[in-house]
Amino acid sequence: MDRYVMITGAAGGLGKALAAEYAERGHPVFLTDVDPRRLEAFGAGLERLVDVDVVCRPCDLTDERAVEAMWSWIGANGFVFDGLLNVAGAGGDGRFDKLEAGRARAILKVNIEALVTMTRRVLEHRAQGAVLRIVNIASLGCFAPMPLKSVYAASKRFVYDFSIALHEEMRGTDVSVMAVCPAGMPTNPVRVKSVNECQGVMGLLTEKNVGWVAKRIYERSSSGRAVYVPGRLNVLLRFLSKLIPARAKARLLGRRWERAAELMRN
Amino acid sequence: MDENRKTTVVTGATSGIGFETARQLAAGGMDVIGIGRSAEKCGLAEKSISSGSPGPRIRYVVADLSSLASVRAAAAAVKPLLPGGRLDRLIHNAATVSNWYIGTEDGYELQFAVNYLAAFLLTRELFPCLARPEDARVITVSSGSHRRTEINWDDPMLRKAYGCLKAYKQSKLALVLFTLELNRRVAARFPLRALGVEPGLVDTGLGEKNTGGLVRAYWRHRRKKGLGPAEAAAFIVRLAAGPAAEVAHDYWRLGRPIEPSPYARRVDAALRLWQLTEKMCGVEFL
Repeated sequence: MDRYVMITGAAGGLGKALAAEYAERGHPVFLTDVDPRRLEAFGAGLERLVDVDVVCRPCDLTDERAVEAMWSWIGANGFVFDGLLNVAGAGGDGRFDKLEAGRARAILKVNIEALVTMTRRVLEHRAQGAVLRIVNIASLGCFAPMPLKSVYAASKRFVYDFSIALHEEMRGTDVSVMAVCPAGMPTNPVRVKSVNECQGVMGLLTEKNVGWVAKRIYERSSSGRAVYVPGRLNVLLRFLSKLIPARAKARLLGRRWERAAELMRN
Repeated sequence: MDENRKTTVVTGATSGIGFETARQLAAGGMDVIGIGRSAEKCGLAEKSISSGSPGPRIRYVVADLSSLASVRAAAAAVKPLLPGGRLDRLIHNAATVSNWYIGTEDGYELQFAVNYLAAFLLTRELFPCLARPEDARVITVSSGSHRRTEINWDDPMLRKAYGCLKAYKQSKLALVLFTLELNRRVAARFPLRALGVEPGLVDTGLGEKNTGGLVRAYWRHRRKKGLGPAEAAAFIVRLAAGPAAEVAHDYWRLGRPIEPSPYARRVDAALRLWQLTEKMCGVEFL
């Protein structure tokens, strides 16, 4: 049986780019996403271009029963994995008291619960005799408390800490765990507008093309590092973030996102 | 009902060169079907052209040309509008730019998908209708920027090393390769010809789609020096409506027959691109 790389959030911007990156390099991929129609369209497009097996299985990772059903199906069909890319993530911009009901909880469920569950389950279905590489997509936002993205940024901090802890636990075994902390990646016209028109110079300097980030993640995933921050300036920002007190960072970033939100409204 | 009335499909027909082309062709007595992405803009354009002169027949079909499924749906929506299932002119004008790599629904790069893939697939889907008239023409709106570039075979979507202009140039080169290859494939089999035309610099909003910062500022400055969209469209209209003998050449810069880049004339590259495109669209064509 082939060894698959499982990619969650595979019909989103980074998910698509990573799926293409891995499949083009000869890794069979097992793709899952909450949106069945988008997943099918993307899976069909990818399958036509690559020589490896592309398996698509839509799943709402916030629905425990759906997740269990997917893993039962995986077990019954004998799929085994040498990679897991936890890409699925949710965000929600705006003041906490203005978030729509259930939004905060949905962010926690995708970004934290689902990620932990998938990590746990892939360990049970790993390919014997192969290194298992787990890549968790955190965010550059995990290095600071972020007003207007408070739940999101804190949930990504969880991903970051969890991944490093797991990396340490697994040291010396054939399981590698890496947290990736990318800055924003404009992957659709709305995000493109946000970066191009509303985030000023910092947006343009920190944001990276998603295809390039996918390529770098692939290359870095076998480096044995615990953390990867794509982009030199972003590495510097992470370093600076260690020197600035949390409240000062929050104030700085709060102003930045206020301004961006203001411009987006116009 | 005039039996001799011809029907034209124009993509990207809600603004810029495409809108003007649709307007002028309709005013000149052709039936025009415009394709646009925004239902609102399609409605406005239809209204504007309908009120322009007595009796122009213009209709719009809404489609997002970045999606292969949507291109197929557009073709399916166009077919019932064609009198006798006959299409005389297909004008591939729609184009976009983006300074960021955007993956489409099918996982392909946005500029490649809109500027080139959509043209290939739409031509293929409408081909049975294009094969009916005596003198069908497929006109692709190319660009001088197809010169001094090549197809990046290692990474045709330019995913790993994306550049706005690089992707734009490649998509336009692909369009020219397609145009010339289409002629080779239909030659002596179908009474259809493909014409490429580059309008040069035209004062449209093209460079402001999905861009910002320097790219946008530069385009805003540069577009002012361009030809008006109506003037540029007039040349496309001539290629579409003029007598066959006057448009015997296969590649034009405005009203002047010229040579495309040597790479665009390469038969091996055209064949390879055609095969790749068939694969990407999941179809066979000619």
